[in-house]
Amino acid sequence: MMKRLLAAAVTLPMIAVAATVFGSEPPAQSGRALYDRYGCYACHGYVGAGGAMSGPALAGRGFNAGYVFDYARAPKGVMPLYRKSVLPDAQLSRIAEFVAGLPAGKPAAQIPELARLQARVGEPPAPAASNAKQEDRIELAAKAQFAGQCAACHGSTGEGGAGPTLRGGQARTAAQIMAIIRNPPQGMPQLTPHPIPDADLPALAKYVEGLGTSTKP
Amino acid sequence: MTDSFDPLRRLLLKGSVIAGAGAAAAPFTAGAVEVSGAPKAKPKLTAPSPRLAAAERDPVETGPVETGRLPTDKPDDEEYVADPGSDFMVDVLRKAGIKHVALMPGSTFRGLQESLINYAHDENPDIIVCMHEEVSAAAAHGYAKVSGEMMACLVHSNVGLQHASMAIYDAWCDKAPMLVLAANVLDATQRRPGVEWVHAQEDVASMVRDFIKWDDNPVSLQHFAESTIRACQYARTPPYAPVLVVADADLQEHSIPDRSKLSIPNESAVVPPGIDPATAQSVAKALVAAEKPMIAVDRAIRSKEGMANLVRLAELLNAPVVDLAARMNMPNTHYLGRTPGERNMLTQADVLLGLELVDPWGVVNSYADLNHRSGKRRIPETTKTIMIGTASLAPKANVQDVQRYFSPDVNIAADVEAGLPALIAAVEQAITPERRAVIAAREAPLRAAHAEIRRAAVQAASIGWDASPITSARLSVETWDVIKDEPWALVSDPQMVSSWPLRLWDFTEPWHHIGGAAGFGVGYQISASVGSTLAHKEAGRFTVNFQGDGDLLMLPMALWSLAHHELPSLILVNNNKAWHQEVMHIQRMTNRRNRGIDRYGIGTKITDPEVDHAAIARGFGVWAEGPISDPNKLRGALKRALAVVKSGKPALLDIVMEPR
Repeated sequence: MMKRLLAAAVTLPMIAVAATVFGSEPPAQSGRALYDRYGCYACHGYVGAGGAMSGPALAGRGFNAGYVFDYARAPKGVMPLYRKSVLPDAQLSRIAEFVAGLPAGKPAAQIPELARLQARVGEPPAPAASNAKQEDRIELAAKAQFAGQCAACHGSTGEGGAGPTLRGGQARTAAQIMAIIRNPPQGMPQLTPHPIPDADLPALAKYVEGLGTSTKP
Repeated sequence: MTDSFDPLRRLLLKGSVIAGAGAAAAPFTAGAVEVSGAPKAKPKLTAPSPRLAAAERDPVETGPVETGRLPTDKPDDEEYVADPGSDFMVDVLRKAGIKHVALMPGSTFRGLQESLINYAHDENPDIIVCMHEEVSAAAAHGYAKVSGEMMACLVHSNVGLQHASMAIYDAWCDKAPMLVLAANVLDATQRRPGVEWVHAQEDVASMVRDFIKWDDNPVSLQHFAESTIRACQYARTPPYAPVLVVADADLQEHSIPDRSKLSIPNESAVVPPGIDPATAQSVAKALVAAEKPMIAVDRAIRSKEGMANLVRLAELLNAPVVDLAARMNMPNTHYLGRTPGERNMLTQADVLLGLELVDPWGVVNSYADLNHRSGKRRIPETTKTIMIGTASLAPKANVQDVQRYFSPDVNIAADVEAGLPALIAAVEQAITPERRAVIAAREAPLRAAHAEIRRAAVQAASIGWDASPITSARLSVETWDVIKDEPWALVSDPQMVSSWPLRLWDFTEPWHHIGGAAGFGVGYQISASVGSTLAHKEAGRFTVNFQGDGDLLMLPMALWSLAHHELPSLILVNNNKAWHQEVMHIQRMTNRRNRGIDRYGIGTKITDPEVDHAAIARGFGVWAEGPISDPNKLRGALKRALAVVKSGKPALLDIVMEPR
C-alpha cells in the first residue's frame, strides 16, 4: 500500500510537470498526454526532435498512424516493445495519431539563426543541365542510387541477397520506405544523408515502392 | 581570487604567521640542492601571490609579518623546524613541471600545504582550492586534456583518496595524466591518537591501484624525489594515465637532516612508440589500393601538428574520417570530416583504419540492448581492418575498460601522433599516378556529401524551434550565435546534447573540445571544468559547458572553485529534471517485464521539489539566471552571461530543456 501511495505521489507530479511546461494541460487521454505518460518523449523528445544517443526524430517524417501503431507493437530495432496488455489499442492509436501529426520544422531559411548557419554551409548545388524530361532524370537518378547503394545487399532488381527481397508482397508505401532508410533496422547501414542525400530520398523510395508491387521477374 | 571568495584565507594566514619562520630559514635553493627547473629569481619575498598579498593587506590578521615579507628570525626553541622536508617536496614538484596543486585541506599534508603557501608562495605551483577531493582529481583531469600538462591532486590519506577515486578512474579511462599525491602517516608510532589512526593506511594506493599506471610509497625524501620524477615520466608516456606517490607526513614535517645529500633527477622524456617503416609501407599499400578507405578516430589527437597530419593523411587518400569524439581529432568543417552520427557509413568501407579507438569491437559490430542480447558484425567480413593505438601497451586486469576483444587484420601498438608521419610518408610513396587519379575522383562527391550533411543538420535543428522545454538544437544554435567570434572552447561532452554542437558549430582546433568523462562518473563535467577552464584561461580562452543537471547536483561545490579562482566558464545547465539516461533504462525494464510502463519516473526524476540551480550557483558566488523555459528569452540571457564570462568570471544559466 505504501509503495502504491509512493508511486502515485511521484508519478502524478511528474505528469503535471510535463503538462505545465507545455502551457495548457492536455486532456489526460489525448495523444499528447499519453505520449508523455508512457515515456515516448524520453527517447524521441517532447516535439519528436529525437536525440543522437536516444531515439530518432519523429517529427515531419511522413509516418502514417498505422505504421507507428504497428511499429510500437513489433519494433525492429532497440525500441522497447509496447504490448497490448499494458498499452491498450485505443491509447496506442491516439499516440500514433499524435506522432504522425508531429510537424516538421519550419524551413531553415525562415529562421534567422538557422539561415545564418545555412549561409556558412552554402547552397545545394544546382541540378545538372539535361535534355531529358525532369521525371526521367529523377527516375534515372533513383535507379543509379539503388544500383550504387542498395543493390549490393538487396540485389540489382530487388530480388534479395544479403538483405531481404524488396519485390512481391511488399506493401510498404514510399513514406514507410523513406522512414526505414532514415532509421535503418539493425544490420542495415545508415545511408542518409550520406551517401544518399535527403533530396534524393523521395525518388528512391518511390522506385523501391515500385519494385515491391512489380510483377516483373 | 578576490577577497570575498576566499574563506580559507584567514586560516591559511594564521598558518603563515606560525610557520613562516621555517620558510625563511630555507631559501629556495637551500643547501647544495640545485633546482634547475625552478624560477630561482622569483621575487617571493617582495611580490607574493595575489592571494597572499591580499592576506598580508589585512592589518589585524597579519600580526608580526611585515607587508610583503616573512619573518627571518630563527628561534632556538625545540618546536622550531628549519628546512622542512615539504619544502624539498615543493622543489620536486617544480622540477617535475607541476604548476598547480588541486587540494581540499587535510591534516596529513599540513606540512606540504604550508610549504606551498610560505615556501612556494602559492605560485609555481599554486593551490587550486576545491571543496571535495573528487573535484580536485577531476580538475587535474580536465587541465591535462587541455594543456597537455600534468596537475597534481593532493589528497588526505585514505579518506581523501576514496573521495578522489571516481575522478581518478575517469582519468584512467580517458588516458589523461595526473599526479596524485596521497598524504599519509605510515609510522604508527608517530600518529596522533584518534583520528590520525583512522585516517591512515598501510598501503594507501591499494584503493586505486587497479586504475592508475604506477605508484610508490617513498620512505625518504630522496626516494620521494626519484619516485615522483619516475611517476611523472610514466604518466607522460603514452598511453597517458594517472600515477600516485605517497607524501609521508613525517617526511613533510621534519627538518631535512642534510640537504647536501639530496638531489632531484632530471626527467628523461620517453620517445613514444611510432610505426616502423615496413609496417607503414604495408598499411599504406592497403589504403592506397582501397576503393572505399575510411578512417575512424577516437582519442588520438592532442596537438595542432597531430591534427594537421591526420588531415594530410585523409586528403592523400580522400578517405572520410569519422571522428568518434573522445577528443577533438578532425575538423568538422573539412569535407572529409564526419561526426559520430555518421558512424554507420563505416559499414561501406573496404579498408577501415581505426586510430586509438576506445571500442574497436563496437565500431565493427552492432549491438542491441534487447532481452536476448546480440552482437553482429556490421562491417563486411571482407573489409580489411587496421588498428593503431596504445591499448595493448598498459593493460590492467580488474577494471574492464578494455571493451570486448576484437582481432583486427593488422594491429599496431603505437601512439597515433607519433606514427602518423611515417604512415603519411609511406602513403605518399605508394600512390601511383593511376591511383592518384582514382583517389582524386572521390573528392567531388565527398565534398557534396559533406555539405549535404551540414545542410540537413541545420534543417533538422528547426524541429520544435519555438517549443518549451527548449530543444537542445535551439540552445546549441543560440549559443553558437553569441560565441562564434569569441575565443571559445567546449569542455563538456558534445554528444550529451545530441551532438548538436558537432553538427552545427565549426570545430577546427584541437582545443575546441576535449571529449567526455570516459569513465562516465556522474559529477565529472562540472568538476573537470575547473581544470579545463583554468588551462583555457591561461591560453586566453573561455569555456562553454553544456552541464547536465544530475551531474551538477553530484558535485555542485565545484562552482565555488570556479568562482574562487575566477575561471571564465559559460555554464548552461541542461535542466531536464531527471537522471535521464536512467529514465530510459527503467522504462526499458518496465516494457520488458510488461508492467507499470508509466512508472519509470520513480527514482529517476528530479522533481517535487524541483531544484533551483541558479540559486545554488549564486550561493557559491557564481552569477546566475534561470530557470529559463521560454526559448525567446534565451538570447538575452546568453548575452548577459557571456558578458560576465568575458569579464573573467563564471556564469550559469539554468535552462529547462528537452531530455536530450
